[in-house]
Amino acid sequence: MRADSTLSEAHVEGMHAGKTLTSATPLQHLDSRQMKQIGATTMADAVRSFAGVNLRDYGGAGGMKTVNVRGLGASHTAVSYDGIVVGNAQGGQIDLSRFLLSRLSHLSLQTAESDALLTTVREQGNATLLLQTDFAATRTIGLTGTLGLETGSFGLFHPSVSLTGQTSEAHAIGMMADFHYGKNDYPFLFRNGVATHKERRLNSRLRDTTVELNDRIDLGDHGTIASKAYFSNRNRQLPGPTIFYVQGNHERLHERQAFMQSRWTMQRTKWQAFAAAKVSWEESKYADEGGQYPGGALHQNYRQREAYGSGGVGRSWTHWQVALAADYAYADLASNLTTDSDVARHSLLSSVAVRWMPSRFTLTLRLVDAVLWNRSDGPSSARNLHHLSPSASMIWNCLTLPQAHLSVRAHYKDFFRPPTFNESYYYHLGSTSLRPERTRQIGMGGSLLWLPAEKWRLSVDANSYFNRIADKISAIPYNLFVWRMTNLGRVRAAGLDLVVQADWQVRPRHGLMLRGTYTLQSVRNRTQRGDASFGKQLAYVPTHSGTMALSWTNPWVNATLSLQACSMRWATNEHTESTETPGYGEWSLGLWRNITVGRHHITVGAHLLNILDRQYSIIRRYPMPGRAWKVSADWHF
Amino acid sequence: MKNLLRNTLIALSATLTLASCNDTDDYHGTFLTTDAAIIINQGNQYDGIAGTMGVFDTHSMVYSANIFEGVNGQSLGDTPQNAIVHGSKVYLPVFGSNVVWVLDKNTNRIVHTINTNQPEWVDAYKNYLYIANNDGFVTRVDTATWATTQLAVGPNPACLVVTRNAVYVTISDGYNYANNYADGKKVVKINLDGFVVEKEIPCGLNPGKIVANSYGQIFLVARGNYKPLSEPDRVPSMIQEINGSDVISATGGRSDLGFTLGMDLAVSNNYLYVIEGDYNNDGTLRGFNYKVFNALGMGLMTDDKFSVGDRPACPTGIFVDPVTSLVYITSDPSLTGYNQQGSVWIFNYDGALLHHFDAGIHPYAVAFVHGSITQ
Repeated sequence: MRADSTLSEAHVEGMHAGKTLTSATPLQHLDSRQMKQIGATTMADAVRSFAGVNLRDYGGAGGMKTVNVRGLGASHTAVSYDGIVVGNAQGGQIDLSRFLLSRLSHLSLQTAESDALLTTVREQGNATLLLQTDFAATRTIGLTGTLGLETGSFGLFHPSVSLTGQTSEAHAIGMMADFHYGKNDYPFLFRNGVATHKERRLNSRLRDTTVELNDRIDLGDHGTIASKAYFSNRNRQLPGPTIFYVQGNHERLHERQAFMQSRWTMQRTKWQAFAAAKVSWEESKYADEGGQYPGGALHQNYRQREAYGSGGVGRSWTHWQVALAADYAYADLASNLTTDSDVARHSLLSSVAVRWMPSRFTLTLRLVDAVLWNRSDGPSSARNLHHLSPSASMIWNCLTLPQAHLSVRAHYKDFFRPPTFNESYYYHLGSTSLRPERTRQIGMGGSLLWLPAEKWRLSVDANSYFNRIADKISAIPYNLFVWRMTNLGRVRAAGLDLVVQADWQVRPRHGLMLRGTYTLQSVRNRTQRGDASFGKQLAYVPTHSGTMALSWTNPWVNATLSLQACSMRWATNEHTESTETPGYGEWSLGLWRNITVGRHHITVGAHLLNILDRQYSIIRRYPMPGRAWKVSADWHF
Repeated sequence: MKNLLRNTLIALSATLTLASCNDTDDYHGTFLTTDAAIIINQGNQYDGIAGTMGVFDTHSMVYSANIFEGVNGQSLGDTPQNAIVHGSKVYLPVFGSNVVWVLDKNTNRIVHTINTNQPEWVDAYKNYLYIANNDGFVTRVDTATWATTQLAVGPNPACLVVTRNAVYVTISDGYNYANNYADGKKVVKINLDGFVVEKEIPCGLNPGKIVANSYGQIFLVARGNYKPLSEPDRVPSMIQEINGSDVISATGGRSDLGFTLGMDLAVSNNYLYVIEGDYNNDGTLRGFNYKVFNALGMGLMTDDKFSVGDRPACPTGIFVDPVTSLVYITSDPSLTGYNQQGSVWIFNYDGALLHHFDAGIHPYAVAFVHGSITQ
């Protein structure tokens, strides 16, 4: 039997950089050490260092951050947290700012679909961001933990604690808690005609408390059960967009989220299986003040619940693997608004996958069947849905020498996303007659790992794609006063994702790493021929973007110089002078050192962000912070 | 096309000239002309695009974009609503920026800034400017001293017009849609002399734009509840008239529904122009119809004005020049083009297209700068 003939592990645990070489679909990966080496201090920094990604960042620690992969739209990107996808049936987009980078040991982006044959069906979406916490990676017997403190510009104060008790090889429990405070009142330059004014972000405070409990039981041949309970309480003032001649804002958002999840995985020589369950509860309370509202204030409260279960089984033979999996989810949404109905959705997703692995070649075929039932206590419910989504991927490891590994890959995927609750039911705007957005992805690329000399290592990962989106959900005017969602848009996207990394062990304990990513994206509106925006790049999608990091690890103080850059973009699909949004480049410097005293390890770090104080925005009217500093200390015991 | 408009303007001037002379005159005198049309482009605050003001010179037929910023070196602000020309000044409310700009009519330079909450609309009479503030007030501004006085009128005033020695303000209660615009079924009449509320006039649901002609006739749009055709409790958008007794006229015996459906309107002398939505069977918007009424007799003159040949793709407003009677329609380039460069279309009163030109993003309002010539 081939050494790799067992099914890829259903869980993301244990994923390592080498997977990017052998994955039939594009996979990018960072572990906690690499995150330090590229100078990432936030989730936004880390995600932006992936090629093919277009991050929407509304600025500051409290600003919403969503990720759009390969021009498909942020609603097509799923986020998996310790092995189970985070649901959001209301808005469809996951705000990445709710996750703390310091808690993660691994971060990966898989595009098109998971290379693992046996996974939950939800992970088989168009793109999935995989987040794995420290606990999932910890295997040290006894009590271990970390006390951390991070502080910096604009009132940043972030104490954290993490404790893990590995009572035996078979059992571990853990606790993590974070309090994250930021005033976020950073200065920025606001241009008004020929004048430029120095202003400050107001009403931007963030208070975020997150607690999670983890448990892992190793059942030996019977597998592993990993469970998690999570609670976060997040209070944000919303600064809103900058507005000419008006300063300040009164909007507030209070969000609370809680979930419990558990996952059992079992892997034997020929048989693999998993089962997972999750229940989640989410509440958001939005408030604004002003004389224009009845009673002087607007209150919009939403409560979202979800119950989710998944199970799957796989079987391996010498050259073949087969996997079956099924997901069921129930999601509902209620609000305090008399205009909104209480709505719910049942989803049943199932997949069958077959993999053929003769010699160096691997071919995977998968079919996902989705059935959705919608229910509403309002006048009408959103359409029920049945959709079959085929996909195929292949990889050929054409060169497998001790000094070099070269693989080429290709994939095709047909997929969809259902309308969100907001798109279907939001008062005036929503439409219950919406069809799902449909996507088709075709991609090909290759990966090279080359060791040209004993102390040199070079890796290159290049992937190109051509995507189509049909029935894109867009808003059009219902009359002169209000808009309504409809399936109208068509988009074609083509691009190239490139990741290059060179490592040089200069001498013992001295290493240099140079890592660069480049993203070329042509994401064009193809909705209506003759329209001024037809054939033009979509709003906020840069043609060129990329990152660069140069890291020097040494016995004294490790250092990283990093750059995030992006070409000019347009604020709307029509390209006019007034919608042009300039490109930017942001340089940052990071220093860190690990100090060991007995069995205690202390990591101290200091970062100078946006060294050149570049004033820019990713979304117009939402300025990003200028020059800022951040220091941190973590005591590992 | 340009020649057609130019010839029309010459012909209209000649008509006015003749109309203003008696048999014994040698056709000499002072006559009103339209020198320019101020175009207000609302921009798109969601997409971070500020509003702009452009000027269409009716003599040279040239549209000059972004005049406000070009002259004043600063942005107009976010979501301008309308503009009026009164005396030697232009008054321009900018909703999102909480400001009403006062400009010199000839130079477009800022001569004064009125800071006021969410100005929705302005109108003026003699030396007072009246502002409808979305937070529940009408602000009166003395244009000689810039002293302001506020009067509470009701939730979400949407528009106002000064006529019959009073200010008529539509009260929409538009932010209270959850309670079906419970307090948004009235027009408040403010007495000009005391600047006090004289009466409340019941009208259709969610009233918006209100206009008056030189005969003192008042018309308004009651926008209804925006619900789709399929919903049984839908209240459609309709046009209503406030008669001389300050009650909604029962024209055609349909005072409850107004005398016609419609989403926007403009009136000049005895012509009332109405834009109406044209829907597909599934309730989606297909296009627009334009109706013209004889305002004096309320008879429908034609229901297919501006429908032949090229026409605006997605109208955002309709305006009539009271001097030339030319009809200006502002338009987005398509149903989905609300954040794209729009255009302005000029028709004669008979529905013939005279000219159209590209304006800014989401053109929304037109004001006319009148001058005079002496012959």
